[in-house]
Amino acid sequence: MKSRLLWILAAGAAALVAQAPQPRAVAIVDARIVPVGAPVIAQGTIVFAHGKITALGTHVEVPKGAEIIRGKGIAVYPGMLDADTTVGIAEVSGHAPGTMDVNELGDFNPQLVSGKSVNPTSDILGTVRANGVTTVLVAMRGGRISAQASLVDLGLYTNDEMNLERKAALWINFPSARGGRGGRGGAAAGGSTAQQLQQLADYFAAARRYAPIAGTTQFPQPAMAAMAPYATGAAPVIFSVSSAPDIRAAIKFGQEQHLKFILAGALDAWQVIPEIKAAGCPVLYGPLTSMPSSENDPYDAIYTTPAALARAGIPFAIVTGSAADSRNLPYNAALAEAYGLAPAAALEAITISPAKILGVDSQIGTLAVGKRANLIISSGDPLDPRTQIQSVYIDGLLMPPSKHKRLYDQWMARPDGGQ
Amino acid sequence: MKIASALLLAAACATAAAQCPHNSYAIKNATVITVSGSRLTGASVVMCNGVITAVGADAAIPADAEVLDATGLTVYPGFVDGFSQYGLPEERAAGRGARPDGAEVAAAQAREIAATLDGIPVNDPRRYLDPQPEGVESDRRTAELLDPPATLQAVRDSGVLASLVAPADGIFKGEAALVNLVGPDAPAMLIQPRAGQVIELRPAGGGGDGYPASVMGAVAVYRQTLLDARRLQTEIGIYQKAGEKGLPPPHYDPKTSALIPLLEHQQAAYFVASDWDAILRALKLADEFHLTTPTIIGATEADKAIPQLQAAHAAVLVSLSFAPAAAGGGFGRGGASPEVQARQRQAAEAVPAALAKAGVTFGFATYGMTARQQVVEQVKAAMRRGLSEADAWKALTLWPAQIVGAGNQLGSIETGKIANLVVASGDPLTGDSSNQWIVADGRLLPVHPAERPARGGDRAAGGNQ
Amino acid sequence: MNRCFRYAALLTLAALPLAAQAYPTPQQAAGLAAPGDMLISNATVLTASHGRLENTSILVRAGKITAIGPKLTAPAGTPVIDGTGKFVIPGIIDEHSHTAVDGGVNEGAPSVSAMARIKDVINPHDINIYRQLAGGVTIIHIFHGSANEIGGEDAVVRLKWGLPVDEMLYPNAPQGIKFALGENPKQTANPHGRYPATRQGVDDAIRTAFIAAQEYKKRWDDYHAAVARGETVYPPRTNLNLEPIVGILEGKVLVHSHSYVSAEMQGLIDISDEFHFHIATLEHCLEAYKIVNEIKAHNIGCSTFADDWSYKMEALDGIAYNAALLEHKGVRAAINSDSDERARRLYQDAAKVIHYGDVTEEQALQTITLNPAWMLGIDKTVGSIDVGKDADLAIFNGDPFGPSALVEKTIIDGRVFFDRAQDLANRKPVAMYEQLFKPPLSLGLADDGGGQ
Repeated sequence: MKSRLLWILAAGAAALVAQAPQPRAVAIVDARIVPVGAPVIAQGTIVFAHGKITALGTHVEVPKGAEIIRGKGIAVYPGMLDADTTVGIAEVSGHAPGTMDVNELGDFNPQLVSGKSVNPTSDILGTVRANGVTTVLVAMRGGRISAQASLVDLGLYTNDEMNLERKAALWINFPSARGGRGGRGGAAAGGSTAQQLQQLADYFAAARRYAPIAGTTQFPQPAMAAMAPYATGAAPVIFSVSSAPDIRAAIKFGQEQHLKFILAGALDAWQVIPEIKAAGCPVLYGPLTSMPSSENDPYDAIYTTPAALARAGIPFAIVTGSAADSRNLPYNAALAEAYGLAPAAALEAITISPAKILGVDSQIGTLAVGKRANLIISSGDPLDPRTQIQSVYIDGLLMPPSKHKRLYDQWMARPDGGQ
Repeated sequence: MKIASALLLAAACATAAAQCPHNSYAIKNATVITVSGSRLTGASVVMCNGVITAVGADAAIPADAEVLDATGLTVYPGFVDGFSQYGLPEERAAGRGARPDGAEVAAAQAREIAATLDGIPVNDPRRYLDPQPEGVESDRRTAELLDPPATLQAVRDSGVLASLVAPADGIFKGEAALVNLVGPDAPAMLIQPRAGQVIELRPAGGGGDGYPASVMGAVAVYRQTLLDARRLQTEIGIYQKAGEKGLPPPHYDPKTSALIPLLEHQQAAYFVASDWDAILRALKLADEFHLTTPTIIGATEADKAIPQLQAAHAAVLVSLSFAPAAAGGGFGRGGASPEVQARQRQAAEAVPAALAKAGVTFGFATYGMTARQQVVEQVKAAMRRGLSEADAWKALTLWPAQIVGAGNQLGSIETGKIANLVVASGDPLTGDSSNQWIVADGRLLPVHPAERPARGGDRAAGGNQ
Repeated sequence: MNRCFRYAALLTLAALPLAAQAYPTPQQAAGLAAPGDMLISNATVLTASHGRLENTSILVRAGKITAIGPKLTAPAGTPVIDGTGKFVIPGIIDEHSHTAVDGGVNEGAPSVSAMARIKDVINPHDINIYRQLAGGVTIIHIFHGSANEIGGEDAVVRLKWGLPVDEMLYPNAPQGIKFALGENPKQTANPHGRYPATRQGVDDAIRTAFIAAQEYKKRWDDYHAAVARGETVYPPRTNLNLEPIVGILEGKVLVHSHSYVSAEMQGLIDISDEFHFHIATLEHCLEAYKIVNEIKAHNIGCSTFADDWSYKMEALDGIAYNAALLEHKGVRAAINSDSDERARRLYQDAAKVIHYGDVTEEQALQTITLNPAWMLGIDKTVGSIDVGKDADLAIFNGDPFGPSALVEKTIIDGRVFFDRAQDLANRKPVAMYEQLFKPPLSLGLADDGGGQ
């Protein structure tokens, strides 16, 4: 009990402290504002100060001393949320293991906190941010229970300041009937699928036995202590799964264990829509840039699934599951839009929907007074690949250009060669 | 008159029958599936010294023949296996050559690159420009490698009595041999010692460190080796035209020398190829060097290549494994999903019927079958998919015999052919049947040792029938 | 899609006797092998050569574009596609592909594997061909892998799904060959010490191959001269590994080099100067933006990714602005896939060149059409919508670079090889792959309904 209270206090403290303070109020005026979840403001103003949105509307008073931004045809959108990434913990995936902190040894590591090792100045992080993704869920991927996933603002200065919620969810690579790897996980424990499921169930049961004695035991076990909120259904578990049989098995397991669970990846979800609907669990779907798993599947099976989830009323978000490719979150949503998802829903799938699923919708996901000033200024719809992203703000601070932009500017400036 | 001619006939038969010097056998009063003609009932098959001398209800049985009373039994020709490794020692039978270990490969590569200039080692990458391929065993002769192990007993007892044999490994696997699966020793078992070159356009070592590591590399090795053989042909021609003087003699590399008969159409060409693309590739590459029309071995997806097989007049030895095409490496042909694999298996079982319908000459081979698969069960599966009973018999016996050039010797129960026969309790293809006797190598061999022949002579002791 | 229905149908169909695949394929039976006629009317046409044309029609006769303009008419019986509200672009050309290769994409054992030929191992039934057609791709350039500093010879293939390989090869496309620099060739087989293990060694190995090719060529030239003089001599040995390199020296074989960092690309350019051959393209060339002047001076094409980077050390300075910078500086850039997955959405990747670096719509379109055609030496016959060129076209439901773009039809040689409406109508609950050999793709032919 005591540790649970401490956990709540710590989370609250983190929420208050994260991110460096915004030095000066900013007002973006005469812009098209797309708040998401509220009507579009064709021409309006948005003001933010101390890292929060303070005003938003058609006729808004600009505070004295505010920095004023206006431009022809600019639009303001909420920053995007990629709810399945390895941003900040994965830099060079091939032949440079020193840059990778994604897979730990061992199968059960709930005590690990993914966000603890996010590199604030990761170049990949900078490119992701520059394309308008302002918050990500970072999850390690090794073993069976990989780690706790962390919500991270792609902001500035230090790891502490950037972590929005260090212990947002528990990441589990669900045992796969096709052998070994669940979803996008790392190596799995040996034994048959049934054995692996039993092992997982046993682990949860042990955690529930440990929870009541956590504060008083003379032999504290960090892994078991970490499991407590997840095993008791208080905090969400994310099952990384891909195939239809695995999705069914994960739903069954989550229900039997009385967990609060979310499916991630879930590429073959289109085959089990009624079951997912009946289970009432949300889905972090993606990446859309995946191949159908069988030659027999329709060529657009993955592209059309978000629309199918939307029609069924299943809460879902679109995710990339990547580090460097997280910058393409909006274009993943665009693929879903092309194949049947309504444009407004496509935008929600990468802003407010993942925020709701992860329980941070009071802070981010839309442009609304009181929410964090995580927003982007663009020349138009961010899902349109042709749109230029002009500026990205996180907690009201203007973000610096990415390494790519810096190198581009540097090398454009090289004098041209002679004839 | 009638009595006189009957007596004359009897006398002639008796005279003729009495002339068999050794290994005189007769199988009496059986149902005989001749394959070459109609089914006979109450018929006898008479053999002398391993050759069939008479077949029919009225076949005269010599007085000194060992007679098997086969009343109620069925006699059929021993199956002619289109391709197997029976009779080869274990390591030759292996599907893939042994993978060289890392240290060996490193040493080999170090040798490849190292040249010496007056004893001083020189790192010369030019030596990599002519990599030595693995799997060119064109000069290997199956006839010289045969070492029939005791395990052939199980094969024979299943009804397979002759086979085209060559080692399974290699791009050029060497010269095949047509082999009787019964005999006192290897030389005695040879029906045809030089039965054609067997080729497979697949990396010899199954990928990894040796060259080639890919199918396109195997094709390049095939092409380069035949170009080298052609060059040797050219050199021989130039040398002879020059009167064998004024030039150094041609370099008779054994591996390329062995392929000149292939280029000169004096050697049959067999290509092991299972899936559609491999079959088309084999036909195309055989044509590139104008080889004698190749025979395709394996041919699991031969139905898809029917137009090309017809155009090339190619024959096919269909593997009774009906195994779906293995997942190749590379980006394109990844592993098929389980659903597609199941449908591929079903489609493979329908291939023999499709070939029969299209008039493509084909026979069966056990190459690729797993130990658990039974020849007769697999043929029955093909029959369920449309192969007629008559064609099934032919594909097990006469057609493969003809394809491998032994049409006069094997594959049916006819006078003059080698006596490779099976005596069974029934018709194996249409009901339950178990093999009781094998006739091969001029002898009558029980499948179950307890049984002995009834005879009009004084053979060994032991219980009567 | 209801999985239960799928399994029930599977069980039912499994009980039926399976007919062997009907050959010729339905595509052959439907005449797709022969170039076709059609009229696409009243569409927005992005030509890739002379801008955007509104309310424009395209007339196709015998597989060639014969007229472009408003309100064209066609002879009676010509199939008509109503392009109102649609966008038509030239068929997408994926300049860097490994799709449809059987039995391994690398002949990785020797350092130089120029004897390998992709044309020997093309698999025309790879489902990815169909999936790429569904993404508007009409031509792919199939490469050997990057395990060797000099790899095998390539193939240029039109995605004529359902037809045999011989009918898919692009007629008279120049022959090309794959080179590779950097981490991939120097790491391949290096546990066992295959030379080279460094970039300097890669450079040396390539130089040495050209020296050997020059020696080899001289041996043959000497032989021909001797024969011409009437001497009796043996011919030299034909070495399939050196023949293509002689081809490069003679200008008959195009060099396409996988490369990453600026120094190694400059090294190859120096070798090309030394041995007097032309480099057709640098592939991936993630640091091409650092040596633009040198690339431009040698008229080399750059075929790169839209935004893939940081997947290995040599990709660390890859930037999403690479293609845009090259275009701004006058170097022709192509956006390629090097991936079955990315190849399906090259139109989205091309749009990213607008996003990163603000090129024009036509420049972005050229990165996936006219520029790769030029790099492959086939730009006289394909790659843009111009009278006289092949009718290789992709019809989109809207702007191909917008967020809602999808391909409705893909046309090669004036024949429809992908039709989304037909694909949707023909979807059966089982055996999608096999039934792809059955659907009537071209405008109104009945499904033959053959037994499965």
